[in-house]
Amino acid sequence: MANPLPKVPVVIVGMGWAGGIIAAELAKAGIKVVGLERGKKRSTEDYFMVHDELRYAQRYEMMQDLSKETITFRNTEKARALPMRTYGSFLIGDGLGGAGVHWNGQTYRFLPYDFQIKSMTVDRYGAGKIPEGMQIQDWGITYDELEPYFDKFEKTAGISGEKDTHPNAPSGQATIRRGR
Amino acid sequence: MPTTPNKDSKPMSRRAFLRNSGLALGGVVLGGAFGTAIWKDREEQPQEAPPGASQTPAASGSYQDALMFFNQEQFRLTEAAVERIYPEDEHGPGAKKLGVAYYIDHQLAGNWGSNTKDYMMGPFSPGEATQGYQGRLTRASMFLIGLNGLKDYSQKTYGKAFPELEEAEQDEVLKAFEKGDKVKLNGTDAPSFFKNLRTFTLEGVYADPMYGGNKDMQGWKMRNYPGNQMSYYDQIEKDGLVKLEPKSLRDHMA
Ligand SMILES: Cc1cc2nc3c(=O)[nH]c(=O)nc-3n(C[C@H](O)[C@H](O)[C@H](O)COP(=O)(O)OP(=O)(O)OC[C@H]3O[C@@H](n4cnc5c(N)ncnc54)[C@H](O)[C@@H]3O)c2cc1C
Repeated sequence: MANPLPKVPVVIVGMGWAGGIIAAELAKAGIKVVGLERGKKRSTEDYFMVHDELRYAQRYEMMQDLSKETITFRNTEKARALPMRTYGSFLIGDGLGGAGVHWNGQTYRFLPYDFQIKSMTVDRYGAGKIPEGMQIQDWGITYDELEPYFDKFEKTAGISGEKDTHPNAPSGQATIRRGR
Repeated sequence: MPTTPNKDSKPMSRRAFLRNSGLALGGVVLGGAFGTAIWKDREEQPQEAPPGASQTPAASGSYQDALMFFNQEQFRLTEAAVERIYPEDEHGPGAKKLGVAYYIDHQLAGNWGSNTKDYMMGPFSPGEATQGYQGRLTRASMFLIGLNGLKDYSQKTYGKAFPELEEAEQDEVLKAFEKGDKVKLNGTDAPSFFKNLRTFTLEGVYADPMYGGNKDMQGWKMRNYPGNQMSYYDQIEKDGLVKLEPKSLRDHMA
C-alpha cells in the first residue's frame, strides 16, 4: 500500500550532479526539496578498499547492476534493439552521486568557439565553408554568459589547474582553438 | 622496437616482451621513458639470488589454495595453459607459482563466473558486433567449453593430454586457439576463449593477492609496482624513481 508522505513543492528523481546541484540551489533559496535516489547511499567508509583495481575498474563495482535493470539499444534503424547484457563501451552509474562518483574528474571548460561554432566558422571562412546538409548550430548561449557558472562549479567541486592553459589566457593551444 | 617472437632459439623472455610492448598496468601505460628507466634500473643490477629460488614457496602455505569450481583435471589444464601465457623465467615466478589457476577457479566460482550482475534473461537474439555479448551461457560455462576444447584438440593432434605436451607443442595449441581457424567449439569460439584465458592470466598475476593469485605480491615485486599505497605524500616531491615496498589491501585493515 502506498505510504503518503508530507507534500513538498519539489521532488527530484535521481541524485547525480544534475539533481544534486538543483536540490542544493533550491534549498539555498529556501524551497523544500526531496531527492529520490534508487541506488545506495555512500560515504567515506565505503571507499576503504577503493584501490582494488579488479573490483572497481575491471568488475564495475560502482555501476548499475544490469541483472536488475538495463537498457536496450541499437546502432542503426534496421538493427533490432537488444539489451545491454554486460558492460562494454559505456557505463551506467547509480547510487548517491550518480556517474559523478566514478567519472574521471576531468572538467575542462568548453571554449568560446564551441558555443558559437557556426557563426565563428562563417565569420572566419565564409558561409561556403559549411557544406550543404551539415547541421552545426550555435548553442544560443555564449561562453561569456556561462563563465560565471563555470567558475561557480569549479569552486564547488574544488577544480584546479594550470593558469596559463585557461582558455581566456592569451596563450598557445587555447588561442588557436578559439579561432582568433 | 620490434617485438617479433623468436621462433627458433629461446622464446623472448617475458620481461623483454613487457618492456617492448609497454604493458598497461593499473590503468597506466608503463612505457616510454618511465618504463625504460625501470628496466634499465633492474637489469643493470646483478641479480643476487637465482630467481624464484630464494622466494617464499609460492603456491604453498595458503588456505586459498584449494578448489571451489574446477575439478583436478580442469585445474591442471588451466595451470599448464596459463604458465605458457606467463611463464617462469630468469626474472621470477610464472603464472603457476603465482597461483593464477587458483585465482581463475575462485573467479569462476563467484559472481563474475555466474554473471550475477549481468542481464541474463531472454528473449535472446543474435546481435550485431556492436551490441556486445548476447549469449545465454555464463562465463564459467564458456570457460569449461574452452578447456574441453583444449583437451580434445591436444588429444587429437598429439595423442596426449595438454599438460603432458612439450612447451612448444602447448604453444602451438594455444596459438591455434588464438587464431581459431582449426578449432571449433560449441557455444563459444576459440579466440574468445583464448582472450579470456589471457585476461584472466594477467588479472591473476596483478590483482591483489586477496584474490588468490599474485602470491606474496610477487607479480608486483617483479615490476617494482608499489601495489596500493594509501598515499604518495612523502614521495611525490622526490626526484627520480622511489622504490617502495608494495602494499596489499590487507595492509589497510589496521
Ligand atoms: C566512466 C565515466 C567517466 C566520466 N568522466 C567524465 C569526466 O572526466 N569529465 C566530465 O565532465 N564528465 C565525465 N563523465 C560524464 C559525467 O560523469 C556525467 O555526464 C554526469 O555525472 C551526469 O550527471 P547527471 O546528474 O546528469 O546523471 P547521473 O549521474 O547519471 O545521475 C542520475 C541519477 O539518477 C538515479 N536514477 C535514475 N533513475 C531513477 C529512478 N527511476 N528513481 C530514482 N533514481 C533514479 C541514478 O541512480 C543516478 O544516481 C563520465 C561518465 C562516465 C560514465
